[in-house]
Amino acid sequence: MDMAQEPSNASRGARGEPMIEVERLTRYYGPVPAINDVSFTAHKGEIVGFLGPNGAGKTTTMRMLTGYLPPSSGTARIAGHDIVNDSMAARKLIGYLPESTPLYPEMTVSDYLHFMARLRGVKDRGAAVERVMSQVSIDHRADDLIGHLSKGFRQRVGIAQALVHDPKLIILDEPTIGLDPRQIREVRELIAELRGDHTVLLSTHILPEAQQLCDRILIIKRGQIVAEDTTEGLTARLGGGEQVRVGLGRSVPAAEMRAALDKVRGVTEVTGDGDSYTVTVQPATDARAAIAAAVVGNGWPLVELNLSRLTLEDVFLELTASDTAEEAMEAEMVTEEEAD
Amino acid sequence: MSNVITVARRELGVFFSSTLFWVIATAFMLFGGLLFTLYIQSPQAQATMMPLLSLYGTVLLFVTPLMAMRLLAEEQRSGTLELLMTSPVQDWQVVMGKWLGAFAALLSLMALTLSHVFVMSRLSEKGLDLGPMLSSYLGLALLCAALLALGVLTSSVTESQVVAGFLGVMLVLVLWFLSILNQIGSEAAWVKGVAYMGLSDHYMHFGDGLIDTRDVIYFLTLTFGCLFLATRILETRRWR
Repeated sequence: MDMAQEPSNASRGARGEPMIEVERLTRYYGPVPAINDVSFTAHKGEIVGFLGPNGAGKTTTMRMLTGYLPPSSGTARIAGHDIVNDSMAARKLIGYLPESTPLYPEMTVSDYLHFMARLRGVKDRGAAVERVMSQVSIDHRADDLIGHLSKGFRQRVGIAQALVHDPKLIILDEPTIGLDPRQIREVRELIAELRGDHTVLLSTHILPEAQQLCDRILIIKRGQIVAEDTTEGLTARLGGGEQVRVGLGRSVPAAEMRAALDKVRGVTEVTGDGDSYTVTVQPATDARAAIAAAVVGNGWPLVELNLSRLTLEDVFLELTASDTAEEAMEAEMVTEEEAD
Repeated sequence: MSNVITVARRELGVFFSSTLFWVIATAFMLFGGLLFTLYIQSPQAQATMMPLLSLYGTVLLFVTPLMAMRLLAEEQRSGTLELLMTSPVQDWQVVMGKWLGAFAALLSLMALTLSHVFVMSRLSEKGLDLGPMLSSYLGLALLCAALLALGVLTSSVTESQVVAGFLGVMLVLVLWFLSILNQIGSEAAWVKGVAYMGLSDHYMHFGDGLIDTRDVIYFLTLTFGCLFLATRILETRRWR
């Protein structure tokens, strides 16, 4: 048993063939790019999360991958099929649920799924419809009109139609939006069950959802991917890892504290003043014992020692906030330069 | 082709389960029946297809835009078009399927008018000639096809069924009455040309038992021209 083996490495080793290959995809609405020069790859069997604030370009990217919108430039391939030149072959491999879950309210669940199966060229439609209806637990409402269903059930029908032709790739745009907490959990469980058999690309602006469901996360902001990694990797890489809060029984000069703790292995930064300090340490080096020893060794009374891992939410907010600040500064600098 | 049939079958099912269709069917039979009864009781009544054709044509001017207005507008409004257009189906197959479904529904409605023909043939001593009857029904079918295609076109430009319906009625009325220009007696080429674009003359030609290729081509051109335009309009929505 090799304890040093990291789970992220294991999943990387198990990567299959590429399912989605996106190359420098760009889409303009008028003069404004909604998606600007985006490239990424998703592999077979992966659940990839598109994470970003509303209006970041998640839906636009998905619409281009599904063949609804043509890209302004750049391209993408679905299992090797170009989305522009070989659109029909690419579309056959995709099951898609748009954000608003558009359905025909005047049709029954079973009729609707039969219709979608027929459109996607499913041979044994009866069996396929039965299969997806039991998969999303909607078989007992098969003969009800979709218009009479609750939002949670309608979402299940939406997911069922995306699965009815057993597609290699499933694209879900905000699959849990507008649902109540119990329905959200059900939908998340459904998505988790798809892992392995299908590649799933889902978008969300809910961070715990991405953290819980996805093998890999792409953070997208203003039409560009600002970060891409495994959930653990992203937290570690961008957050600088772990922080230790150190509380003292009396005030200690910051310079002395810094001098003492800088000698401890793994410590990268010491901030704070008086009786409260925050020590940033490298990821996966639990330096609490060493820090405690250093503090006590100097004769300072140690009253609190607390390790906190950054959540993805911290990372996400940090990324978005600092970027916004930088962009604002850049914009100012540009105007100043132009004035000269 | 199977994609067209798939879309058409769904559309036909929606028509037969929608309130609007049965309201239209009821209104059609009520008005049609009323005008028919009034006509056969009048002293000038003749046992020919002409009056029937003109009667159905007039009612269809209002019925077809009502039937077609939902077809693409509603799909655009509700977002279901996105699922259709991301399925492995060509855009023209969607448009064609929608039109074909509505056409089948309207033809089933037109079949009810055979009751009028039956009554009329029993009332006259000589009965009705088979020739004019067949040509009339061909004309009727071609008119239904063209009017529905116009409705599909107006339904493609907007997300609002009401706007699509109004546009449809206006367009259909203008086209229908262009033929009136023939009666102002002008010999100018442009007047003749514009009048030739009118629906009603081409349609009424079918009443006397002659099938003129020019009339058939006129209706087929109008039908497929409108469906082609509707497809292009749907495509341009992607580029916006």
